[in-house]
Amino acid sequence: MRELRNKNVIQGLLAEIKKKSPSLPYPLKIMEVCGTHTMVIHRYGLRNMLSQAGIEMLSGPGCPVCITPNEIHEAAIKLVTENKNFILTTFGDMTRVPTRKGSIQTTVPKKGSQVKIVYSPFESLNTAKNNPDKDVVFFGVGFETTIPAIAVTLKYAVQNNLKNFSLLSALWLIPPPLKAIVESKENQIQGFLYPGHVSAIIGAYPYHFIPEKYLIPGAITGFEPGDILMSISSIQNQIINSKPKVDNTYTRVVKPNGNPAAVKVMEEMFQKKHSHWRGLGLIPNSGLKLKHEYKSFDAELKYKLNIKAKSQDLPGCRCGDVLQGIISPPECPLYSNQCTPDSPQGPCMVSYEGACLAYFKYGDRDRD
Amino acid sequence: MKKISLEMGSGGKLMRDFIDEHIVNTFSNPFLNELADSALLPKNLGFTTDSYVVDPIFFPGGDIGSLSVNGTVNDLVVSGVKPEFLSLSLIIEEGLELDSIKKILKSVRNAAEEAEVLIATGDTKVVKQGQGDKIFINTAGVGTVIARPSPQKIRPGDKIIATGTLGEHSLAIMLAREEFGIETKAQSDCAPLNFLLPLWKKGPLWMRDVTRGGLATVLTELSDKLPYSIIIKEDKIPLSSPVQAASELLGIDPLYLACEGRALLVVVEEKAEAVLSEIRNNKKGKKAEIIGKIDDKKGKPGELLLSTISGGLRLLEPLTSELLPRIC
Amino acid sequence: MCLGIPAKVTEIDENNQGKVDYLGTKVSTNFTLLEDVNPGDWVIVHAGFAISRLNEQEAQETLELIREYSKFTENIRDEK
Repeated sequence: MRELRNKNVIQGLLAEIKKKSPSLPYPLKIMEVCGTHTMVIHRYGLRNMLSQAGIEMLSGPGCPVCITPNEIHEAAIKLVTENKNFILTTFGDMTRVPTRKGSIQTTVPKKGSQVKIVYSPFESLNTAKNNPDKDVVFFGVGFETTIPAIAVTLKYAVQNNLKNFSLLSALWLIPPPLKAIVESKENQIQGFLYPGHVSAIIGAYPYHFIPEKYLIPGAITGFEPGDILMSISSIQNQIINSKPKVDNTYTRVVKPNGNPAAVKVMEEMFQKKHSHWRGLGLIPNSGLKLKHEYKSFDAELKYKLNIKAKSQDLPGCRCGDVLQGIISPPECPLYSNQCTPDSPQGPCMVSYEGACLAYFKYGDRDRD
Repeated sequence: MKKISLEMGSGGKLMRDFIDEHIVNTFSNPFLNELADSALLPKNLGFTTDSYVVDPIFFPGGDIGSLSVNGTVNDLVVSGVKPEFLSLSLIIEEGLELDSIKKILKSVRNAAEEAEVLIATGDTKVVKQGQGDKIFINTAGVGTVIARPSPQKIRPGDKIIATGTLGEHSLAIMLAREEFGIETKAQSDCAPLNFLLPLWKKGPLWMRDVTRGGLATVLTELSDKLPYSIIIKEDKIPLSSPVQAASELLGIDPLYLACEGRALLVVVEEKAEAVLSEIRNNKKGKKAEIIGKIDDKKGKPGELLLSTISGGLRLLEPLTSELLPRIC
Repeated sequence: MCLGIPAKVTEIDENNQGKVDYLGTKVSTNFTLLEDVNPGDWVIVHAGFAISRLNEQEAQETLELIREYSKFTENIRDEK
């Protein structure tokens, strides 16, 4: 599939997009929801080429590192710094997030405790099996792409009665913030790139309300540059033909009904909850927590963490508006002043997928 | 900053600031102030030092012993110095097995033989258990200056050569530390760069070994000092399959992965092809490529730009904080 | 983040645990989320789990579609 990165393919698709632009709003504002899409756009230098073709890309809230409130990161740090014989297992990109108590990477664990970076939640399970005398917590962060994997892991833990294993969860659902964005009076998004791998799990139906009720076009999108451009072209066609829908250009992976087995295991282990999204505030039924019968595997309850996620960022921080695509990073008063990659003030500057960080590194300095 | 943070040691901006504020200010002299890989002293002497705190101490393709020789030798080679003697200082944690020490010393000996240097002096200390992590090594290297790098002569059109595939050392360390359920044939590229010494007379104006921060960080350090931009082409950057696979799996940018046996050269335009041929003749340089050039048409002076395989152009920034601690 | 890569299944055991091959690198993978997986199948792997299959026919069709675009560029160049 590497042909989808090929220069000729990309230039051909861009020419096609540029050809259609004059008959559409200029620039056409399209939101890439998923943080990995933000990364791909910047990694291949697509932003500037797209802007010249009449498309303005806005980064959305699909960046789990960005939207997880500080208080949850701090709870993870607290677990490993205040408890002996404790192993905190986590995905790598969570370890660099700065909090008021430092980052997981720079934290000094209590004696006999440690932080272990894992690629798969299963490694965390094995760590618990191999260290029966230690408490192991998996700091599970992610959207629907990752949640089924975490659910399967928890199911194994429950079935094998791994008493020393538990989950500190920061699990987020994609459709609720999209609903918040399209319902907002300030919404300016004219098209959505739906996250390809989240969609591989949940299918296309959860997004149908967006074209049906709000008449906004969109396309489920894969992660090669060619995928992104194909979807943008599809969105243009939907507007030209006045037929907004949920198109799918990632047919090689995504089926309309997603992966029902994955959804089933998610629903088996987790229940919805109202969650605070950093920068976006409280969104109803937008997060997940372990069901009551599995509470002994819920780290928040097991260790009485009492997390009060209010997600207070610095006054002046406009991450919320950036995450909804209402403003672009340079329009935030803190951007590039108090808020830089070395001293991030809000979530958008923190993660490699964050809108402000991507913009700072590449956005206004893409070259022709 | 009141206390030293781990991030400060990662080689990024915090470390540069620390060096400027505290090291240069305290010791200022014309040799130190260059902040080059090696100090070029009177009487044609080149001098450098490095400390090795790599974790784990044994990894595929090398160990802290071979690393401590090659890292220091390479700092001399890329500064135009023929390495001749090394000092070897060992700080050993109480309880380390004698077998481990023997293995490490053997690695040092083998690496020194390959790099044609003698261990002329050294020191051994033992610290209490828990007060040092198995073993730390410092080596200082000294040799004869055989060429003077001349980055001031760099002009638009001059070419950038990478002597081989990038990122293997970082990958080997990362997977030795945390397996991530990934099996790969990746080995550290830890090796001496002596084979580049004869090339100094044949066209290179500047050389640097690609260590912490990877290709992007090393080249931005150069571009910062130039009134031109540097453009590298993504499709020319040599990457082995294991590094390509692992970086896509784990979401890491290989342009920021460190090596311990690879160098970047800036060569005058007319001589670039010939230099490339010579590098490729050596088995350590088989995968060498011309990856880019100095430019004065695109971008602003001082910028490092990547021409992506999709036809876009993006700005590369130096690494602000290390992807992995203690890789060398 | 949604990093998922297409890889070929090389082995799978009765506990749904196995390995995939990506560019010569092998990754331990759990296949519980899919049914009827066999060595030789192509799947998308995320965080050590196979989350979806890669449909080879759809992939082929996508490739053919984009190859049309690369011809498009060459045509433009020819016209110039």
